[in-house]
Amino acid sequence: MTRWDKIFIGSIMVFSIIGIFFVKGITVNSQNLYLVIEVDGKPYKKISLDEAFPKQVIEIKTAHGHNKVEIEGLRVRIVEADCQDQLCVKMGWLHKANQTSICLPNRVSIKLVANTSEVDIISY
Amino acid sequence: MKRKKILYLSMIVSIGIALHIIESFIPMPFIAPGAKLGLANIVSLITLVVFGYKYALAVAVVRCLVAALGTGAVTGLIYSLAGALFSTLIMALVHKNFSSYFSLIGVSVFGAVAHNIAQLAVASVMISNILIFTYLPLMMLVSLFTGYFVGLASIYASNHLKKIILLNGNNSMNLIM
Repeated sequence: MTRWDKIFIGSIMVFSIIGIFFVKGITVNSQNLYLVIEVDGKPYKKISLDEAFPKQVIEIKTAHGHNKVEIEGLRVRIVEADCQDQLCVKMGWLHKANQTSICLPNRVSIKLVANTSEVDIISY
Repeated sequence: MKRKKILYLSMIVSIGIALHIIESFIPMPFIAPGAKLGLANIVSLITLVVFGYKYALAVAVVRCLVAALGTGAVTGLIYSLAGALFSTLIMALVHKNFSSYFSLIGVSVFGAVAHNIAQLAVASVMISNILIFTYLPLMMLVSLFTGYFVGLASIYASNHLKKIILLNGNNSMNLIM
């Protein structure tokens, strides 16, 4: 093992340790959001949100009523509901993790969930 | 000499295939998922030192193709092929130009790091997500240790292999047969 070997191995070690801390720093702050729609307390749909995704509207038709959820980039709202109070529509946009909007008469709830890991599973 | 070279190379390839298949049975779940010992890289490095970079590339390609048939991991073939080719290429460059600075351990660590980069590049294309590169620092840290081990093993193995081939240069193959 020569001097250059030691220098190279040491520099790689330093770089990778710095890299591990750097990666930890960026993954904690990442806006890795999921939209979870629940009907009657049961999961109805789970959608991954991203800045680049196009705008989309999801219709929720159940025995309890009818709602429309709009997704735009990293934010989400209920645009339409056939309930009386319209509270869920008045909640407006959700854009942070753990914010929820609930339509009680229709038993629909939408929730933003942050997920720190990007990959579900890695298999080799 | 040519026939003898082919004989040696095919034996090296078969050792590489065996190492590749044995290695796939060794789990390393505690350090990082997906981390491997890289035992098969010993074979590439030995071939590189004893026979030259052309043969090392050929051995790497044949080893990956046959071992993929052996382990049944055909999707893994793309990863292992990219990793083996790129790491052998980098090791050849380092060994050719900087062998006065780096011993085989350094060359092997270069190869291990190149192997990681190539595999993560292929993975990022396959799942179309560049964020997989956040895994690189951890993999590099693990590969330092495996690379050191591979380099050490190659130093011992290649010294003996060089001796055998020199002794056997213009004689028959009695020594090994």
